[in-house]
Amino acid sequence: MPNRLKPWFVVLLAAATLPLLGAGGGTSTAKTPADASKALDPAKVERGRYLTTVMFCNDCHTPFKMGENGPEPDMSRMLSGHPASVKVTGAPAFDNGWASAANETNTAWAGAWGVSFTANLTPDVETGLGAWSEDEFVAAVRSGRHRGRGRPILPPMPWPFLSQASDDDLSAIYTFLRSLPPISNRVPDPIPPAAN
Amino acid sequence: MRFHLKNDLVRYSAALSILATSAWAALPALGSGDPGEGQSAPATLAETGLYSDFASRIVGEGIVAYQPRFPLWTDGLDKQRWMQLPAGASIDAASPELWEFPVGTKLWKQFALGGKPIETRYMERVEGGWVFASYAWNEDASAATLAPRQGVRAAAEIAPGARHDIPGSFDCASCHRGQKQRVLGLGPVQLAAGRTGDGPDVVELTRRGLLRGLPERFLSAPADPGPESREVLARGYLHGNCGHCHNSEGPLASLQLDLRMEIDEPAGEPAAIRTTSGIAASTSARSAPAALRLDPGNPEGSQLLQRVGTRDPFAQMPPLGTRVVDEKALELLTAWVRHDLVQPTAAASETP
Repeated sequence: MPNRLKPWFVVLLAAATLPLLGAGGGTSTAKTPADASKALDPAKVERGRYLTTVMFCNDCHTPFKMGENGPEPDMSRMLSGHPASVKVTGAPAFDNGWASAANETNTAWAGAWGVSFTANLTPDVETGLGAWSEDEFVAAVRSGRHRGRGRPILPPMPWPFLSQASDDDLSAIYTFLRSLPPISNRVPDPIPPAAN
Repeated sequence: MRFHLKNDLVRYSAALSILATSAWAALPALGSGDPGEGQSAPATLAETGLYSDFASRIVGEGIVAYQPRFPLWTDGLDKQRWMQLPAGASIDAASPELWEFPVGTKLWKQFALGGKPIETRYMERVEGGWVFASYAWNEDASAATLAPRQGVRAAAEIAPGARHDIPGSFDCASCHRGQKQRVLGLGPVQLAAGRTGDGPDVVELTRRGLLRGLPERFLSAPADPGPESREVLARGYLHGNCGHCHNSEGPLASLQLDLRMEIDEPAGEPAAIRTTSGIAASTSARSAPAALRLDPGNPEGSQLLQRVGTRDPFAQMPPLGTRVVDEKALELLTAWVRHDLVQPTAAASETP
């Protein structure tokens, strides 16, 4: 494989394959939320765009591809999470003090928690956040739980830091995410740690 | 008691909690994210007024112990519950499913293992909402102090490899904000007239002047109630353990999964059957792969039972507050699905 990807703080490579991927943005199977026609506040969208950019949400939630200058986020699949087509079957072995690793797309992360996959944050109803209300989104960030009351959100998602954002900032981030084109991409379930 | 605790899942849960808690606890608090609806809670349990004599744990005068009909499973821990209303005040039950508690109401739920208290959860009604808190008892049970907002992980080992976590403030909100009524376990179904169990029912609360306005038809117990049917017990379990999130009015209403029981249930199929039996599951997980929420006659193909019967943190239900499967409840629900639930099509064909 030419030009092996080295995303920031990738310390090991997970056992992953990277098939050829077509552009994923706004696929035909994506379903927009029922309130998609509701006008979004442009100022809020821009504030959310700014926050998601400087808080590097794209670094994990937008899959990396190999560009002319090395690995870069594939913005045609912006914030759509770990691509379902990229199969990861387990974590690499850790030794010599290493504790975590990411795969080539920077969307699958291995550590003591097993392997986690970054979520699809686009407003696709079936596979993204399209069915989530703003309250649920804010509660998820604040609590570290799916929709604010379900399964735990795994590392390395830095929700304990993000949870301290202001209500206005989280609302802006949610609004910006609603403005994205929905992308149908079903992120796989996390993989528990190996038995050894 | 047999535990469904596979080693990998134990490690999984442990790793999650350690990572999440250590990161959160180390952070400087920036003042955002408090889910409380009102003022902050007292610093110690003693200050809440539960005990008139804290050292000997004598409960204060006017504080009423109660027990719900369908209690929430908390890994077999012993629980005690109390309520206190301001002097002369009462709960307004004119809206039977949405009791209005007077400002100043205090509620406590204490968790103990082998007679030793581990934590005491506390709710206080204030202007504009409720204060939620939990108090962690010290080793010699001489004091209980307000738990930090991220909770306390591994506050006690309740079984080999299974520990009890004291919930964080957002964990409180996860359950208590899942429906309009913030108080769980103290309502018309849980304290129904004539229900079995210790403590007052709605009739007794009314007689004592602690409850008013509940329509008369809910204030008479059956002359000979007899044992509750398996279906009622099963639906009651779902009501007490799942219905506070899975209902038709809260944030998860869009799932169209309603596991609540109502005191005044409309005619026809109860919601807990109508929204599960033969209904496709809206999601799945590695430990809960069944396609249907409940498949009548086929508990093995019922995702709801798979979720109740696992402690894989990505599939278990409830998703928090328990690390040990409730085996008795699983048996009950399994028998209900196997023997009592009827295929919707078959049921329809029998209807004249």
